[in-house]
Amino acid sequence: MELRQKILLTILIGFLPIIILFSIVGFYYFEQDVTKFELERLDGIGASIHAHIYDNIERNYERLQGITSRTQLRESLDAYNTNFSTEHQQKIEKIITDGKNSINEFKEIMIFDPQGNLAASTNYDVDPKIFSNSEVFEKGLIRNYLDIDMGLNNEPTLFLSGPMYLDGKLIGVTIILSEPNSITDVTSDYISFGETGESFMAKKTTSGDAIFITPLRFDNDAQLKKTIPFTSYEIPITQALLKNEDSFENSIDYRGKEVLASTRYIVDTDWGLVVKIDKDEAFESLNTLKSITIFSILISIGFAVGASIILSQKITKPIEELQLATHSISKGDYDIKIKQSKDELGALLHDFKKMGTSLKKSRKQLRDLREVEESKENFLSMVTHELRTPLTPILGWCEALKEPKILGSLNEKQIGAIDSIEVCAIRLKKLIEDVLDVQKLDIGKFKIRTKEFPIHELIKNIKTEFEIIAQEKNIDFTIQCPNNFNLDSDRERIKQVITNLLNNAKDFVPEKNAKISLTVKEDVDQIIFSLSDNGIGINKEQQQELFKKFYQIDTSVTREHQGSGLGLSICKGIIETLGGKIWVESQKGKGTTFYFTIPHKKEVYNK
Amino acid sequence: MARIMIVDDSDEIRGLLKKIIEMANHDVVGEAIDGVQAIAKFEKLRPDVLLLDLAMPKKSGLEVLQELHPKFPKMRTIVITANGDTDVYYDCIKYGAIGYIDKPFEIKEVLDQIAEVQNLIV
Repeated sequence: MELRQKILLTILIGFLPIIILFSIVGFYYFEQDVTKFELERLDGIGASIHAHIYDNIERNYERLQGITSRTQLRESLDAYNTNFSTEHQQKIEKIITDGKNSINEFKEIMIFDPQGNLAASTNYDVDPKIFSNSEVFEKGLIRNYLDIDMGLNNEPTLFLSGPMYLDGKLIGVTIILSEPNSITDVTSDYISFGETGESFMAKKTTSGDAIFITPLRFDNDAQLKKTIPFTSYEIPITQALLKNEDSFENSIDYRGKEVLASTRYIVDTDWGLVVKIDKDEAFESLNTLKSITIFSILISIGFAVGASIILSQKITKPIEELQLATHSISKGDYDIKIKQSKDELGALLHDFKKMGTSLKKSRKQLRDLREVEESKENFLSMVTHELRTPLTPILGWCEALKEPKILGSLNEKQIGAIDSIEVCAIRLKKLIEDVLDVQKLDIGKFKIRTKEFPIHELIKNIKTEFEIIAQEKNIDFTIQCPNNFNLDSDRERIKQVITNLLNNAKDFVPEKNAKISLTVKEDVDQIIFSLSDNGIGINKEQQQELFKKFYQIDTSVTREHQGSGLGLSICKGIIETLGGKIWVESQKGKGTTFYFTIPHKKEVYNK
Repeated sequence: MARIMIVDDSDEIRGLLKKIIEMANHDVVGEAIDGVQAIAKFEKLRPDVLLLDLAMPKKSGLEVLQELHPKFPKMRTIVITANGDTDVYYDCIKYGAIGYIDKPFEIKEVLDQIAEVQNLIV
């Protein structure tokens, strides 16, 4: 996955779940609180209305009492009940008319005897039989009674009724028809009910169903007409009539809408009171919060995505550029064009660009050096070939001349002359080889070939070869070498070094009692070779310069030791290439010992 | 005894080698002065042993071997090298070289190499 996408995903995964989680949890708890709050509020309103209704019912009873307690009325009624005189009837009429007029809401007042016969009325057009057979009358016989029902002209009416006594004797029933305002106004005040809230009351019909006795906010035609079946337990009014005073979180109202409701029961009149509000409205604030929350989440997501895109852009773009630059460098193109910003990444790119430039320079330098190397090598090859080619027939013919089978025999003088040529040619050959060895060591093209060989045999071989010269010059040449192991190194080159050292030594030993000894010793992980002579020795200053190229101890014109001065520097080069060290120990007048080491693994075996 | 062909661009060296070889009673059946000649003559003469100089004009000794060896896998070649560079010799081994002589050489060296090559059952 790309770096950019990784960053984006990380930010989103890290950032969003937390926001979403907190939002959901917060929202859930807030919902709980709001519900509780609303229900409590409804409850409070319900209690308040309940109390208000009670007060008004009481007031109505008091109004009733205001009529029924009148002594004159009762005395007149009692008298009328006995003699049915018009005089008494008129007295009653006057009292009830006054009573009716004194209270606005009173529409009609009727007085009945205990048998249900009309004694007096404020309006004789009203058929008394309607009332004498009704519950209003029946209940009124016993005690004060209040009801709301359809009255004259099919209008909702408040019925008040109550018994009248005189000297402990029941003499009649007062029935008052009143406007129901004192009751219905209480529930019809929707001031603190928002748009969908309301309160209302209902009573039970004879079949047990609920019938609304107050107007409904959303049904103009409901009062005393609309009923709710008593089986509708989910509807609050049913619960209210079942005397369940409670708050309900999940109710349906008469419109089929989800509501919060609080129910009350009015004992006196067997009415149910419901205070309700649509859930939608109650949780309006909650829904707003829900929308805000979702909106916030979306905005957060938007921000998170935006921020992470920008961030990843800012981070990955320089990295991408860096990667491209690295790629082009790896392909050999060092010209980096990078846009720079003023921060750490910009600084990095800038340094990278500088590195690219210096790398380009280094590469060029390397190329130049290689060219020089190559030309040196070519020179080497050419020189090798060109110098050796003429030397071949010179040396070859010298040898051939001395071989009678090829060109016949020669006399001594002739042989002597050829020897002279040969000696010089050999010297020339050695010089060429030395120069080429030095060249190869210099440019690191000096090749060694390692192979296991018995060291003892090499030393013996060297002794044999040197024997002739040793005898000529009266040198006592001794060797000392253990004969029980092989050395894994370049035999020819080691021989070259020892031979070189020997050739040096032979020129610096005294004329008499000359001694040279060659010793080989086994050490922990190396072999130590030492070549000692009892010659004139080398002083400290000379020792410093000894292994340098072209250094000759004796630079006089008539020098005896003929050499190129390269021998020791070649020895040093060879030994170091073989992994060893070479050094000298000497004192002027006290002889010289050359030491060199060859690394050696302890795999010794017995021959 | 052996039928030998000498390939070298230097007249002197060819002359010298001829003398040495004839002294040892071998036959010099042919000479070549460069790689192209070498290939042409080899195919005609089919010598027992080939003495082959490596550094030559037109075609080098190595190139000669590369061309001839596939056709004559049993050819016996001694390369003569003035380079002192035995790496080239190892390259030649891949193409059938079985001996080498360094320039400048000694008579003994040349004869020893020829004798060895003769004794080999190729």
